Amino acid sequence: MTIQQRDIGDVVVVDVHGKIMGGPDSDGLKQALRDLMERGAHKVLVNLGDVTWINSSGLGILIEGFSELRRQGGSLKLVHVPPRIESLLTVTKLSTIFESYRQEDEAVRSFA
Amino acid sequence: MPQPADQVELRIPSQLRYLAVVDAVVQAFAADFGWEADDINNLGTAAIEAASNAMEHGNRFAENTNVWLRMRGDAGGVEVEIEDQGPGFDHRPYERELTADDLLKLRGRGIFIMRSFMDEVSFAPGQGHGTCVRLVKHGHIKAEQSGGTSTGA
Repeated sequence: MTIQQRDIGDVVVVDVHGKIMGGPDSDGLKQALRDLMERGAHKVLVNLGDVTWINSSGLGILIEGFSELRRQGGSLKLVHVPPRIESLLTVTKLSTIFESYRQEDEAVRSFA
Repeated sequence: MPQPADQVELRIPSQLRYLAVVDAVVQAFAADFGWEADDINNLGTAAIEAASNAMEHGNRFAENTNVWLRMRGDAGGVEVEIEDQGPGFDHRPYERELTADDLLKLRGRGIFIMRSFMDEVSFAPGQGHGTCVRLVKHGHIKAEQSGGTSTGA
């Protein structure tokens, strides 16, 4: 898994590529989200467009980031969620807590 | 123990990076029957969860431990078994519906995900000392291959 970050105004877009499956391979995403919070980012948009799959441990990483950001008064949202991951979010009812968007510009505007 | 002639069996080291192999192999096995993409994806997702559990909770990521993946079936349904080498895994505490209180928990969704995507999920002692998870999925043939109608098993 690889991660890149971009700033669009005060929104930080985290582009994730590969698989999110917990364990050492996904420590980078966990650490990236923690680093963003430490530096005071409150609006985080995770781009899952290039994520092939995610398992339940990987969902835990997104939930941890979501919960911690919310605790700090911020928010974590999702964009470009592939159908396979969308199914997973639906059955686990996580689709009721994660705001997700099809288009990046729409997602960025939603933070305003 | 004798195995059916048409059974595919693989030994996978207990390292999470090989979950991609589990996904790819299971999906390829089901795709050969011309199933709809959702059925193939769901089978792969459940197999990833089962293999994740086997590596982490079964084998506890111990060095030199493996997970065995066995697949058999036909166009009507595929059976996937995933077996670890651990001391046994008690799945019963996780056999329940998720509640609102579970929504933001970081762990504990694996078995729920398997049951949501599969037609059958069962746990039994493995051929060795570990636990064997059996997943069964009845797929739907893609419409263009079945003459315009979707035929579920």
